[in-house]
Amino acid sequence: MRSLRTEELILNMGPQHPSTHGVLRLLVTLDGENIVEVQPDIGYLHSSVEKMMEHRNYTQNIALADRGMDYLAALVNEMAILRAAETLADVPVPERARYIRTIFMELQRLASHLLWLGTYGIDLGAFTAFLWCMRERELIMDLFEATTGGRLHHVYFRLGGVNEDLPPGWTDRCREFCHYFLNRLDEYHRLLTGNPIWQARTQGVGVLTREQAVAFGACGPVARASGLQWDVRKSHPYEVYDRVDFQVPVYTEGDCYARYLVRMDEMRESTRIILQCLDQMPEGEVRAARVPLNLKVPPGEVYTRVESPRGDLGIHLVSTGGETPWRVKIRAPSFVNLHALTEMMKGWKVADIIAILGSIDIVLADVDR
Amino acid sequence: MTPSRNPSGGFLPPELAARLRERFPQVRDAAEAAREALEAFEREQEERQRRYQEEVERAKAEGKPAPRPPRKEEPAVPRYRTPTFEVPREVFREVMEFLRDDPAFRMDYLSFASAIDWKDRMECTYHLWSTVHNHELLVKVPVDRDDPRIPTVSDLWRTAEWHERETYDLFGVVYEGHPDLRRILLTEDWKGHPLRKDYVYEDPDWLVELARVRQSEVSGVQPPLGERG
Amino acid sequence: MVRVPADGSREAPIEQLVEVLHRLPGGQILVTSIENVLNWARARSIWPLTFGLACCAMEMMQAMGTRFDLDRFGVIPRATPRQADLIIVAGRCTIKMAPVVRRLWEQMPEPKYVISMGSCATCGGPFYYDNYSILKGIDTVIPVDVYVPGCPPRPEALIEGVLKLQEKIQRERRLTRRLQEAGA
Repeated sequence: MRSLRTEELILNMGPQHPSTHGVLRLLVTLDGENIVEVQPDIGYLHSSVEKMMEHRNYTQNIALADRGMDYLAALVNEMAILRAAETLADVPVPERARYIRTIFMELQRLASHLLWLGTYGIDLGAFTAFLWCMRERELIMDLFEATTGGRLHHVYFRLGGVNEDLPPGWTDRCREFCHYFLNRLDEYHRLLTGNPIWQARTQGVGVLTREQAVAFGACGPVARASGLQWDVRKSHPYEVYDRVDFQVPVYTEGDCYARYLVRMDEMRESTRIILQCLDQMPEGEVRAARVPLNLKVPPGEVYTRVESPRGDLGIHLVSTGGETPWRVKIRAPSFVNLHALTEMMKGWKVADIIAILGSIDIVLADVDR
Repeated sequence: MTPSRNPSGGFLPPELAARLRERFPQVRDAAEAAREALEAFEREQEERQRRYQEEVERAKAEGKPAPRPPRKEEPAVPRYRTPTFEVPREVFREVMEFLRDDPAFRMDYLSFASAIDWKDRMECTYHLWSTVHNHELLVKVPVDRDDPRIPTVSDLWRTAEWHERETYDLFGVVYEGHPDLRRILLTEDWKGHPLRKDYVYEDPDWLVELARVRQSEVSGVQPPLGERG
Repeated sequence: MVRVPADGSREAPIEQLVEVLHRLPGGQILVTSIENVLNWARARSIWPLTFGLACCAMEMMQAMGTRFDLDRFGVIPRATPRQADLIIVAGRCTIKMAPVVRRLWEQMPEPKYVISMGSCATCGGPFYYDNYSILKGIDTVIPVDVYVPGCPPRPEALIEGVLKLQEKIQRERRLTRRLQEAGA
């Protein structure tokens, strides 16, 4: 019997596609319904941030880091820039400011994971998840707005502290939100975790082994779902992460469901961190005195990393002693996770593209910078 | 994984740094060199302070007014808060293979591969980290700025594939042996490599044409008025 | 602009009707009324393209999400440009992306509208200086009806922008202009 002659088909997805989470273009080579190869075409949101940072001083770079990098984790980006600059220039940071920073970064992680869960719900056909997550995200936005004045872009952290102290009554509101949110989290679990459709779409799909994860440099929840026990908050502690008690969720399956569970567990841990910080936070100054806005960072180089909601966000800062950095290399977590996607997708069906793509939680501004 | 012993930056045990220098004598420990330069600077400062004290005493003995104290100087020595090694191009591949495979190093995670343009020279940078031992180091390789070429490491770490493409795109560094070296962020027809310090932006022709078409729609006149195109 | 052929053979039924009405004494008032009804319908069901570029897209999602609920104004996102009336350019547009945005706009059927959301889409915003890859304003490639300022604009600002667009649509005189052109 003669076998049927088949040809491979190249399918173009994007840059405008409702499920690519931004302006990502995927060139998918298909054999029938099976994926042979996926080639992401990126750069549709390349904003030349690294070039612009060379022309702005460090305070201005904080504002740029909000917008130009991963816009869903603006405060974590600010921290990334500040960690590099403060390490190199030995800027002291008051205790209270460290606690405030930690609280805000964890709130940012919650907001980011909530948006991911909502959009991933839409991707897999669960619209309720989107509405619920947006509802809770608005409450976080209110907490942000009360302190920083911004919803997405805050420009709240400064060299040597934060811009201003928390408004009166904020800590109680935040504590109230945390307890409310823990209940909501249980509700999400009831809605999705045991849902047979959800499990069928995600369990066993898009597996990335631990070895592949390390080889591709995968980080964050993607790496942790593949069994790599690694969180920058634990391995390179910054701010007050070494003073609070939290677990790093790790799963070994490496599939979309494991990535979902990692993020769900992370949200619970983030809430725990916030509650502990609120309890431990001392009174006092929130900004070191006599740190000029146009700080001259002494010549030198440093590579520091922070844990963004998407993974290990690194900054290689090169200074020649001026007000502006000589070179800033942003090591973006989404960039490497997107590269790992090419390996994850091999052999799966067309319908799984969206499930796998959604599960790695990329932000195109972070990929392209 | 134990937390990093240096909470502000990366960490590499000194015995490992010594081991690397022993295995490859050509490799230069930038942090070590900076430390030596800083010590020399401090010695010089002490010397100046001592001389000043002598002058003060001499002036006192002669009954003259005391001389002005020397200006406080900041050292121009760069600080390396991350362990940094300068590796010559000739032994670059060997060093990288050694760092990845040596059981004491086990640098199995490449954080990024990039470059720095110093205007007169260029350096390729690689940051390595070990998922096993949680130590890290930065490798810097000087390359010729006019014709930057360096062997690829994408066969050692798969992740380097994209990082090298990005560096090629933005700096024009050619990675020899890379399986698929083409632009990744910018369009295929882009002129120049924008992260070089001497880059000058130029509108692509098709963008000028697109803006001209749009302009003609605004004015409602075909063919368009003016010299805007 | 679509021109009505002289014999009227390829006109849509409503346009034939309008032309007949226009010839009647006092028909001009009727045409205006029909136009008002059409505009009213059009303004209350603006369907935007699901198309986000950068940060502003997050606020656009929030605007369509739970608290702000743009659905109240008849704004229901569509996934393909063929079904969309409105394109909200939410975020910075790169030079690499510019031809794509232009093509999306070209694929949308008339009448179509553009909202430029945020400073980046309006003029390049914070990415204006020292930048080599961002388009300095989306209006260099497609015409814009409403500019919404902000970085990023709050969802309320986007809603205000949509309301302004509704006002603009309500004042449109497409049919009258078409008739005048056919008469001329």
